[in-house]
Amino acid sequence: MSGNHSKRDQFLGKWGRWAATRWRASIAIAIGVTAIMAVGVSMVRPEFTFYSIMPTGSEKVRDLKTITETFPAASSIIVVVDGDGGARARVTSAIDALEEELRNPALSEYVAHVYGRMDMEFLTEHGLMLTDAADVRRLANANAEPGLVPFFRSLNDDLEREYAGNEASLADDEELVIAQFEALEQLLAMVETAASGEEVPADQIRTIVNRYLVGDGYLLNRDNTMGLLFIEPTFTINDVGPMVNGIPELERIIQARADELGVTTGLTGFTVVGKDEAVTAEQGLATSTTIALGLILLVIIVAFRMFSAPLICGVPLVIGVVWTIGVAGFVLRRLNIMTAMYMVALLGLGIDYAIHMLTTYRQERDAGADFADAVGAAFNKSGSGVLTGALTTAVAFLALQVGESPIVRELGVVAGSGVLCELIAMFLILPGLLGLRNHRNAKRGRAESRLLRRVSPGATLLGGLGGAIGKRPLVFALVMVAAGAAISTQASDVEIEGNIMNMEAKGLESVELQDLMVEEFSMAPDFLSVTTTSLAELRSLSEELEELSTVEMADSIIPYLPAEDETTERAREIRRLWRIVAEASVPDNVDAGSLAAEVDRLWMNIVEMADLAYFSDMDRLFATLNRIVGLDADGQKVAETPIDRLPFALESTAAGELAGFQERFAGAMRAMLLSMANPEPVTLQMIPERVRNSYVSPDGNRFLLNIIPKQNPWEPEFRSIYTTQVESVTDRATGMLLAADQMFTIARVDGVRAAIAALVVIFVLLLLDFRNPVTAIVTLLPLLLSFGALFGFMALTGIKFDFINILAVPLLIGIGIDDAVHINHRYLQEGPGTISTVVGKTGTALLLTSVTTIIGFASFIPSIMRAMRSSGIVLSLAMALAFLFSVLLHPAVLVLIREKLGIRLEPWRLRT
Amino acid sequence: MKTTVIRADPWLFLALLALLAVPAAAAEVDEIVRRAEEPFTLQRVYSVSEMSIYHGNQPAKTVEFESYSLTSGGVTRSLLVYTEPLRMRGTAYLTVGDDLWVRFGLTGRVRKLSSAARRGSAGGSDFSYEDLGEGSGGISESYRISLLEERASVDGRQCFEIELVPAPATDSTYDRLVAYITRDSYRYVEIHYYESGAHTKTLTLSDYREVGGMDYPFFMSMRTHASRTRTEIVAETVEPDSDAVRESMFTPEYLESL
Repeated sequence: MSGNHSKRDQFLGKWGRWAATRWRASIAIAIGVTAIMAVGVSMVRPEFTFYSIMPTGSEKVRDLKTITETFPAASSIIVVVDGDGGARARVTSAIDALEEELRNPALSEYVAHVYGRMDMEFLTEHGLMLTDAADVRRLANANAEPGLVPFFRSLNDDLEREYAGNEASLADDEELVIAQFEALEQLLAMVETAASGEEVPADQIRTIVNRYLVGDGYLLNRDNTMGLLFIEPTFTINDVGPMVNGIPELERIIQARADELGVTTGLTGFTVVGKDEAVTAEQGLATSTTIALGLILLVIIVAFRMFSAPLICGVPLVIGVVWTIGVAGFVLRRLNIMTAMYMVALLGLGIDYAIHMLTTYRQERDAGADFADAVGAAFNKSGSGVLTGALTTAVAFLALQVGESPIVRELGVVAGSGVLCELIAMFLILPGLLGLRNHRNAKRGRAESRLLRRVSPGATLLGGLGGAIGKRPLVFALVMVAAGAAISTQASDVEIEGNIMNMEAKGLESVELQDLMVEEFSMAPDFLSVTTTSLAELRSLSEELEELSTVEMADSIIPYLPAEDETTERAREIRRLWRIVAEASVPDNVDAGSLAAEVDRLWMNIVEMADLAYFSDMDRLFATLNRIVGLDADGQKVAETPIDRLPFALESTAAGELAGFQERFAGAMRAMLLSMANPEPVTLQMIPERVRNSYVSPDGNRFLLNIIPKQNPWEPEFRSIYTTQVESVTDRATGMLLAADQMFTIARVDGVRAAIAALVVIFVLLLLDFRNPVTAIVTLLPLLLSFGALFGFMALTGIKFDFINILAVPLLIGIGIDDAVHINHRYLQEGPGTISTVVGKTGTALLLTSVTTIIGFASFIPSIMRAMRSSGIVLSLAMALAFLFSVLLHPAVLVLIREKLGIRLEPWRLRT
Repeated sequence: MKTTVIRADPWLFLALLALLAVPAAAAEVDEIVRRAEEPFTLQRVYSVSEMSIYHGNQPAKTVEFESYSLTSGGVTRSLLVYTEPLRMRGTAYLTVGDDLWVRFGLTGRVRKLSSAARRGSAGGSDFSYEDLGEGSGGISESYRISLLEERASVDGRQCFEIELVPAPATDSTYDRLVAYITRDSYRYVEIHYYESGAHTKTLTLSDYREVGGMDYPFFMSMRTHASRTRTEIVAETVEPDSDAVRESMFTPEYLESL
């Protein structure tokens, strides 16, 4: 064998021999180091909560924690009740029944509060104090003369003044307008019934008057076929155990009751999405992970022909992980979701080092070397490759320090130190365990294992391949470069996933319901929030935020708690209204002609409002108004409704016919208005518990303002505009959405930065290792082509980068370089004309490491969670590409440069 | 011999150069914008257009309208009458200066709208009346102009990048506009609209054709980024100095008579 062994190789060889023959000492050192690292492990705080991925020490994250922990409503579970096209009553009665079911004390472990509708008693008592003074004045004037004609006249005046031609005003009040027009629709039907001479019961009139004035408190969709129910759980998204157990339990109870009620239900809200994420991340993985582990063990046993091989590889591997956690404990004091996930990748990396050493050991033993010589040769021949490979991988990860997000920088520390820990553990423990095994075999009088003696996986095939590369290096080089370059042309089209909901399992109900809530209820379940201790600041923030084009509403205690000057003004108007309404007398009859004219006018107002709703895409309002006037979307008459029939019915109505109805109607209106005409200032203590819990901290000192967006804020383009606009008003807004920004930054900025930094530092390392710029450049070539091909493949197949699969970037750099480095070292050691041996021997180790790593990552592919699946595909593909370019291209380029072009690849030496 | 070398700070040099260049640049940017806005200052224009609204890439609504505009005595008047779809047929908007009226097609009634309504969506589109109804002074009439970039690129075309900030006391929805005007032909190709610091809308202008001796954009597309909606206006006919435009058309009474 042509020897070209450096001092480093010789040192490593001596080390391997020492550690194997002095196995007791090496194992004792490992135990000592492990004992020290155990201290570090004890210092580690596992932080697998949602917050662990957010910037530590950030004021916004602290605020978010405060909000989640202080305001139970922030963790609300939203139950969407679907009446399956049934009547409104089916939906509202189902909401009532479910609310009652969930109030069962047996569920108090999970349910703090449940709300199906607004507190109507509070609105009935204080409704006018919550109404603008100008509106109270108008209401008073409208009721100065009670009766049907003045009612409809005043209504028409209001509509023409408030909404005519003004889509913006209509959009602001859409929900309120819908509720009022639905009540009006029923009132028109009642007037028609009364005009035909039939008696309308007083309680029905009272119900509809109350609904017209204050609504009925349910939150329904545009056609009243769906409604919402809110559960305040006893847990938050960070209480993983109760969340994962409690939500399915609630889901089961709700589902069973819903079946009895003839409705369907679905749960959403960020807490539910969090639970679904926790559950689906594991689904589909148990079987595949077990199979993958079994396959890896089988590959190792077959490759090394030792039943103890998994143990010899596995012990240092696990100890390396323990040391890594220890380092994390000493340096960072914590493990977050991402660094914890990385431990799986670390196992994949660490086992590669064992495979390289054991492959050479096996080859040396097969060639007849005794135990100590074989271990020494394994370290001599493969140690340098492993060392350089580990250092480059560690550097690739440490380069994550250039990342913008702290979580990525943390990953860099843990992953970089983890690779070094694995390297040291392998160099220290693996020869020690081999020595122990050899000692036990010798003690029992056993020779080297005869297991699968005839099997030499991969070596023959790869040796043949190496021979072919040696003969036709140009063909291999051209074909591989052309193939890599062709796919790489698409690389610039690879996209980054900006919507973290697209990383969840496809068809996940809690995610799909989020879009449905925006469409059906104009309500996004996720939003930014801000807290303040000052009511004055809360008011000014609300006003400014509601001006933003992306904000649907600033949701806070403010509408329930008028300012002092507003209270004074409203109290004055309320007292005036009370006097007017109390003193007004109902006329004895109804002027049917005037009433018909007002109903005609109302028809026109409703049609015009429907036109505005059409223009403004207010679908719910458009549908409601069209239904009342019997028009279709084109404005064609498709149905005759009470508003059409009433003017005709009034033509034949006797003068006194409607007087009875009018009296009951005016009486109900009078009673409700007088009940609402309470000039007493509203205090925090008067506000219903649900509202207080939602917006006021338990100590009453902190107020929450939710900035409800107009669209689904998980959509990246909308989120960017929404957050920018909100930041123009306040820099304190916080929310779960921050996590999305954090993850997007990881994928968009940090992946690229880290890759560039890693490539630069690795190039320097290669220069130091090989002391030859040509060798360093050539070594980078397969890696660059692997990158281009990976990105190109992702672009072609529509796989996007996300904050999880971006881990492929440093992994690919680390492992991709490793493969080429191993071939370099062996080729430089073996000398020219030996590429067949190099590919045959080193290629076998590379094949084994690639196969085990690919099996490990491919076990993510069956996951129903899209992020896991795409990570499985991307990481497996990255490893396969790195192997192909390293084994098919790199040896060909080495042969071409060294043997055909005569360019030196050996290290440069200083002349003396 | 001892030699003292004075090294000029290149940044200081560039800063001095920029200071010297300010008056010239201001004059230049005014001229760039004046030339780009020539087609928008056409008088007595009658046009027929189709407006399509897209939600994402899905067409949601298409309307057709006739538009009449006239500037006299420093006041811009415009009348927009919807001809399609059926629901909107006969619905019309009249703008005289800052005043806005609407006529509803189905009821025939006319209402005067508040000035705040000018900020609202024009016919449910991504354009506001404010976007559509700029005065005869052109898009930049109410804005202070400055040149941001001499050689910006939009779809491979070399453009001037110009910032338009609302003039003091101007009531505008937008914080600022950033317009891209081609260097070779002085055409607006893109305008970015900013609200509360965020880039909320993008107007694209293309299909320039010669009308009345000037290049007029027959295609305009306004994209609202937050809602992922887009409105395209395709001009079918543009007639400057048209006989179809009469002074008497621009009154609420005329609206009622439609």
